Amino acid sequence: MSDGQDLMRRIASAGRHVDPCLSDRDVERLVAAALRQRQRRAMTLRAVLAAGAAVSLALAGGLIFRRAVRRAPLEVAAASATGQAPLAQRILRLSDGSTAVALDPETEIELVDEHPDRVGLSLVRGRGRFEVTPRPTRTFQVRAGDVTVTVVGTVFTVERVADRVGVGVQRGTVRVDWAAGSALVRAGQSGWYPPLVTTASVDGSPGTPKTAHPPRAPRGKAASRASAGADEGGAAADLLLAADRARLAGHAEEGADVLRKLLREHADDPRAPLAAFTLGRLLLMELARPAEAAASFAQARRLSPNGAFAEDALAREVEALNKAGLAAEARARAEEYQRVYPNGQRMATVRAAGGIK
Amino acid sequence: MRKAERSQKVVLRLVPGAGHTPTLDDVYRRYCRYVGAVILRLGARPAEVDDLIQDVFVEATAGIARLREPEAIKGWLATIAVRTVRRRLRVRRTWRLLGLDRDAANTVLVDPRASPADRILLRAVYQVLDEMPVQDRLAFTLHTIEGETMEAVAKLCGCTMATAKRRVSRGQRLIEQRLSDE
Repeated sequence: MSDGQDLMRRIASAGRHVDPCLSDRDVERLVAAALRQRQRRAMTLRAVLAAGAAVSLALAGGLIFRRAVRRAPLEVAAASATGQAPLAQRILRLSDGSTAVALDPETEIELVDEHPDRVGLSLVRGRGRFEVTPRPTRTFQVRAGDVTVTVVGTVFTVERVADRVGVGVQRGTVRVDWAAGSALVRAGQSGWYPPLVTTASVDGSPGTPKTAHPPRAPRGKAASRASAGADEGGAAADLLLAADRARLAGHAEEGADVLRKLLREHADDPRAPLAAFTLGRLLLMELARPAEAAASFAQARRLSPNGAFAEDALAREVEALNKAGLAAEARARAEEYQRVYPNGQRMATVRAAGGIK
Repeated sequence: MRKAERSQKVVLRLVPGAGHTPTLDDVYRRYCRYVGAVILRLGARPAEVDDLIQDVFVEATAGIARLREPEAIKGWLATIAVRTVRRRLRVRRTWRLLGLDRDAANTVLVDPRASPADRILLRAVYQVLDEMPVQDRLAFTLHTIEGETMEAVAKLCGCTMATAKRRVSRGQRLIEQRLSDE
């Protein structure tokens, strides 16, 4: 009996150490998220109330009904976000019928501005698909870091990977602005922004990067060899674009094949680290092959140990190794992350995935 | 937009008549860590903690302003936390029965000060807790790990004191039995 009591005492004592150890930064992040959630709920409630009022008015009389129905969407400016929905089903609906869909579980999209003449969304992280109801009198902008995508009635995808932003347009046209230039991206086109310097001036139109042009089909080895010098970089850019296009169109396997080809044939190209990182994400998030993903993230780091993707790649590598069930490797990489990036932005995730308490 | 944000801010009067009127955000900041710890100890997985904290405070938003005594806020949040975790554990159990719970390997978030022996003990305890019926698990955890009195356990679980005692006792028996087997 006393053994039992002793055991319970030990459990009680040890149990005090079970703690999420939230930092001040974590708390502020949660408070900010809660505020956004309350705002969305309040807007949804107002939308529901306004709709109810409209129905009541409709029952009461025709003229009043019409006015109420017209005014309700403007007054409500409803942005009902189903923040609780899982994974790719998170949808932000705007009052004009436009939608923003979070394509990854970690995607964060904020509604920062909604007026009759302008709508502003911010892609904080991850990947989102935006379907915009055409309205010439209103500008629709999606900001992702330093890149702004301005829209006039279209369907497009925006993705943040480290300091690069991928834009793919399924319908209509968007204008992509960054600090040093801008580009028009039309239906069927895609690209990464800001564009890499090596591709920005290939077609001779300043400010309009090559990446905004329609991607051509990947060339074969013979064609790549035949086109020497500048063409070498062009072939890699084409492959990256073809991969983006396949990926954004939902053909993940095809996109992965193209990225592998790029890494095989153009390992010295400046786009290779981005290709390896993108391949890793594709394998991890969309093709559920974490062990291969880990290898791709490791390759991204090898190709550019001090590049923009290095920290993210190492963090993702830990996550992928953990998902692949390779706990010891995950822990080793997590310890490396702690050592190399003591103030890393992904420290909490890395520690959890690496099994470091 | 800024104006709209200000107008939507939920104001909660913690101390009637006092000069400072704390907002719900103040309450959130004050009790966020407490709610997170309760949720984690009751059985949430580390990856779920953020979501569940949000769920607790969202549910609290509706009823918290009606509380007359500021001291009652902590208990009120704990009650909601228990309800929220209970729902999550039941969903997880259903998923497990269907063979869809892929994250079954439980990881317990422990602060760095815990000794290796405590870590091993907690891992073993939480493995047994995963097999325990949800109600027994909650009562056991609240009483044994969270240190709540039987009366508080009954209140938090929404049952009678006799039922709470039975649940805690069943939980303790199972833990003793399993850990003594190892």
